Amino acid sequence: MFDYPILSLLIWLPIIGGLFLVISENMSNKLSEYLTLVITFIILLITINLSINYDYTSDQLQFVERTNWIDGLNIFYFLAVDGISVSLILLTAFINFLIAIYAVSEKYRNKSSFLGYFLILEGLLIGTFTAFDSILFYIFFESLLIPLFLIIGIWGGENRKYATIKFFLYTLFGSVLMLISIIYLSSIAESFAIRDFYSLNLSFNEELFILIAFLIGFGIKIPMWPVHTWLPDAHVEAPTSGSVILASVLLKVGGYGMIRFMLPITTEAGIFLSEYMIYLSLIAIIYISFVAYAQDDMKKLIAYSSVAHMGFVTLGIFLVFHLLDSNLTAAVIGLEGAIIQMISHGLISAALFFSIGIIYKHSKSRLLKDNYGISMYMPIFSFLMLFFLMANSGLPGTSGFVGEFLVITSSLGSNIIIGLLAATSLLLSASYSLKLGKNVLFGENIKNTQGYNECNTNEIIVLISLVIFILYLGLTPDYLFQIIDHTTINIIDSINLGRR
Amino acid sequence: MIINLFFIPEILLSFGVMIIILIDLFLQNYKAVTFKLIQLLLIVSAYYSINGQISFTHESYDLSEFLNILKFILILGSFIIFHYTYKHLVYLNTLKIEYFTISILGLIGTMIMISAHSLLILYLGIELLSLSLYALIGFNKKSSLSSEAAIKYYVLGAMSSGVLLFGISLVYGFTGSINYSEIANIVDTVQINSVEYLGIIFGIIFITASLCFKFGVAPFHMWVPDIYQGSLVSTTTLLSTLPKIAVFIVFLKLFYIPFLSMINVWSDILIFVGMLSIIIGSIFALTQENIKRLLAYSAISNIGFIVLSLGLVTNDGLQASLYYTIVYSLTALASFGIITHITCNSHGIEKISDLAGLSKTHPYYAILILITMLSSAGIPPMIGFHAKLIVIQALINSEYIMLSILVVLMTVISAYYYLKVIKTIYFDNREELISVYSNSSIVLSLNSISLLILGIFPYYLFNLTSYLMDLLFTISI
Repeated sequence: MFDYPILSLLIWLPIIGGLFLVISENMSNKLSEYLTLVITFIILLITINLSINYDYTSDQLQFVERTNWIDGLNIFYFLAVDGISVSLILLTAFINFLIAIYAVSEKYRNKSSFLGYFLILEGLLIGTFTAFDSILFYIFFESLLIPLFLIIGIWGGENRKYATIKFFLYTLFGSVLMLISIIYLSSIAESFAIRDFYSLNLSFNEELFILIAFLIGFGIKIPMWPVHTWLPDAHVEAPTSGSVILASVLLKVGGYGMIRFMLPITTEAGIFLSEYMIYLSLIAIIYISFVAYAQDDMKKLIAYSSVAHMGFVTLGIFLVFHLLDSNLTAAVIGLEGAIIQMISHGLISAALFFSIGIIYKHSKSRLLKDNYGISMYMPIFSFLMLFFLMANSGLPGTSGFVGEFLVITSSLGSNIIIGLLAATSLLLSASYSLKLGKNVLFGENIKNTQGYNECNTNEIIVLISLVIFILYLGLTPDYLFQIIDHTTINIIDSINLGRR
Repeated sequence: MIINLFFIPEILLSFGVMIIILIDLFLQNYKAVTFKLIQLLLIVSAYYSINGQISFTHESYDLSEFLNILKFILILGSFIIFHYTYKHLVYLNTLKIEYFTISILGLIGTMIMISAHSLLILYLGIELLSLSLYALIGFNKKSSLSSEAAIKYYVLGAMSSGVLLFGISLVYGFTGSINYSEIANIVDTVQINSVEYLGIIFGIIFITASLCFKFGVAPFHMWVPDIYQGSLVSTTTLLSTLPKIAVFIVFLKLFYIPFLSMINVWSDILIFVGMLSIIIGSIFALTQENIKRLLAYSAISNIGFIVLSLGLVTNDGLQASLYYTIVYSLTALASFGIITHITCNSHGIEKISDLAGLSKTHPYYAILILITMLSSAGIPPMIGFHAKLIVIQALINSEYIMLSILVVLMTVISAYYYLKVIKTIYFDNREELISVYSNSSIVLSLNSISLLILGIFPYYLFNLTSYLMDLLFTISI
């Protein structure tokens, strides 16, 4: 179909461009901005082209690139896409383009390296979503830590040293356990290709240990309760763009890994443990929502809200285990809901972190008590931010509603109590979102000591384009459904295949 | 044949060293020229080490392609070390050509060690190496730490040599031979639980203990941090690479030729000792403030990986240990190499905090340290990840699942102190003087960046080790 290796291009163009920007420290800011804009724009165009050419009626992997990488160990350079990958690559490319636009109007010390690390991150993220060889996946998955570690550590807030090391060690701990299970699986399958793991005959105990390793590895990344504590710290200390990429794309790597590895490989153990994992997700949804309500730091509030929303993703995934034997349709709906929730949360959390970044730029404080009455001075911005807060609370018509609705529907298919508990999130997320909106946007602020001033053009462009896509996905999610539909059914099929 | 033999690197180097000592006597003021001659000597002997085409097994000495490639690696390593050392010594105003001649004698010692086919020749090689190391460690006469380190190493080294000799005499006493192959034949026929059997076991334990001391493996690791800290950085670089490669090959030869039928004895010892080193190296490094001590503990844990995978006695394990040895040497060369290049307040780097703010004054060096530290921590895409990967794979293939979990948990712990170094360089601010000799050294850059490049294209190194493995099994060691 294509003459050039499109996925390799998507991965290596930003990485090489980013390395170039990191090394050439003395490059002028203008030049580095243009370079970043051009590269991210090219990547966005290629991904759009890819999604148009992607044949979503087919079950096969597409755009496959497969060559020997390390002969002796049977490791392949194996890239391909299916529906989930396509949707997540689109999200990655889109968010990175927005970050590039946003960064133009911002001042950073040593800007070219800053932008360079983001480009490297983009390439690695696309690599993570397209690698179909487990070691290749692991390498991309793990390399992600390096640029993010440096972004938060160099350009972060006061407490950044603690936050970066906590975040790095937490995720490293999770992923090394995952590495062991990957090697163990490969020693049985005599191959590192992820798809070869699906048809293995594992004993129940083996599956249980592998499931727990994956659960720790991806659960820390996503993050699930109770291993979420690194996320608020990392978010608070990260610069705005760092928070955006962290919340909107990096967390999705965990969900993606769960769908790619946990569901098909460790099905039996998953069914055995599904009840407990669903409880964990419900705790994340309900308890963390209360925690979010209690925060007085805007970034922390949104960070906890991210954890709560990712609870829906894990809930949707674990419901598949639960419903596999009883109600296959509901299982498909749950998985689709989880995927759509990932995409939609990617857009909404990005928008919220951008908004908080804009507020922080003026008032130099993230605390709720220091920010009030913004709507008097930034009316357009306030309107947009209110919209994002509504989307965050799952207002019908926005993309936030679709994913949660699907997951709740699916959970009703298994147990009405689970469905009811999950549905409380609609109330809880509305309460903390509105609390944030009420305190920050409205109120009397005559002196304007914070120096609020209407957003500049770049920021408006970024926010408006996010509004468009949130509305688009909320009103007509057909396109996204088309992309992921066959893949989800395919995954459920391969789960059943593995069980037989 | 005689002419050919002249060109085996050991003899070439020995003659070369004699000549260079003489030249240095008469050309005291032209040290730069003499140093060029030394480099030339190394290049010539490196050339002959892989192009000599000599392979024979004498009663007590062998030469084979496998050993030739390793000698090439050793000479290459010393070439790089000398390159770093020269600049360092010039900067410290203590340039003496003796430093290099003594190092070359140590290099010859390592070559004799790996070529030895008899326990006595092995002992000679080890002594030659140790004697030159005693001198090198005490080289910095002005520093009391250096003298202390030299005495410590001398006393402990002499004791371990005594233990080695004791082990050798036990083996000789119970087998009647010091030749590897003959010992192998006799050990094969020894009855289990006979007196001879026990005697040989004791011999093996003593020999292993002494070699573990030279290797710096826990529980014989106490000297490592002190001596690393006390000696010049350039000596530390030497200490942490050449002897380790040599001792590794000695282990390999001893266990796979004379004591092969005693697998059950030494494989458990090696696995235990290796695991202990990984644990001690990872945990004790956490509180270190001195960068040399930190790297010393990091060396202990890295050597632990090598010994552990050697102790598995599988093809995977053997290949993993070879691979790990090469990767470790590259990483150690790079990390110590960078430290030889940087000075703080016109003295060498001692504390980790001396490196603070390096990323702002010398971003290029900061990137090099970033690469080496991430590689040591085993974070992909650096080569260190692949090394750890195949060790863990070898462990899992031998069904040591719990051991592999313990190993990876230790790598997480050790990642903390590598991150601490990166944190100091990138996130800490300081206004003190950090200076470097040159803005970019080509050898150093190649050395450090190769860790990244080889990590992205790991099959080059992997093919090399597979080739070495083939040599190992087709031709006898």
